[in-house]
Amino acid sequence: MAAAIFLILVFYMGITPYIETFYSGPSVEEELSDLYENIRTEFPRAFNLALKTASPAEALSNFTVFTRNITTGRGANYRCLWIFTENESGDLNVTVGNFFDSALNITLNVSGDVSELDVKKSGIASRLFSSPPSEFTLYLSFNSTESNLLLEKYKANLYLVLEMSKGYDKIAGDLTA
Amino acid sequence: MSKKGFWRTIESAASVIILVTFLLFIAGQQMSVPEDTDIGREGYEKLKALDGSGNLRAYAVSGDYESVKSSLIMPGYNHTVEICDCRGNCEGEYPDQENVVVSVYVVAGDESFSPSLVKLYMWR
Repeated sequence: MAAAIFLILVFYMGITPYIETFYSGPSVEEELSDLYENIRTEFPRAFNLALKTASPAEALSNFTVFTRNITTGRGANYRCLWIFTENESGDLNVTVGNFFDSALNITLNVSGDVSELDVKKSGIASRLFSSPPSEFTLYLSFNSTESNLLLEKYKANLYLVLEMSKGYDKIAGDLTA
Repeated sequence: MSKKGFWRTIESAASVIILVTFLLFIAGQQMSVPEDTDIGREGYEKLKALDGSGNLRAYAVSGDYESVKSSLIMPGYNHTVEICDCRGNCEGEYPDQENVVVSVYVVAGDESFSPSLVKLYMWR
């Protein structure tokens, strides 16, 4: 009898952590998908409003840190990289914000004009490209990510890479606006 | 011999009781999760709909949590609203309750850049 009770106790103690792991709440998909959708949808709005400020890069950076704090406050990881372009008297200013886990070396190619940009962690860097055509291609490459975008010079453009993860689950995507 | 048989019967009965309790516990856990998930998502959908109606942003950037609260109807749940700016300053009501589900909604601003976080707390 004592052995049976002992085995039952051991069984309970062994199974309890797994019960909490499996059933303590909704999955990361359910928990984070709404937040991910919300932030991803809100980034272009933040960009448009940031363009009205004295320093769009700083404003967008503040928004990124704000949303990162919200995400990490819910126990998830947040990684983000954004690139925006602005016309500057016929030239093209390309600004990169790196909110990945480490510094990044980013290759930018604006209609054949290639430039390498080192962006430190949670940092911002800019590069001016001289007189690209009014419709230009922006090829960018960092880590294992590559993108090729067809953009207009006289319009402010935003490209965003956003990832959220918790445990082994991950939601990731990009957008151009 | 008969005493040994008696104890085995007791052991069997105890095992059955423990097993049934365990299964009921697991079933209870499985049933409660979707409920919380549903109300969490419902809260988010309500905030999203309020944003779609064009009202949420103005309320959020002005910290008007009362208007957000009164604009939301959560059948079967009590609710309060808190609005926080990007410096972490919050206005509103934080509920002193147990088993509170929170839905959050981020806005970048309204007419101007002013990031805010709307927190909708719900409980029975």
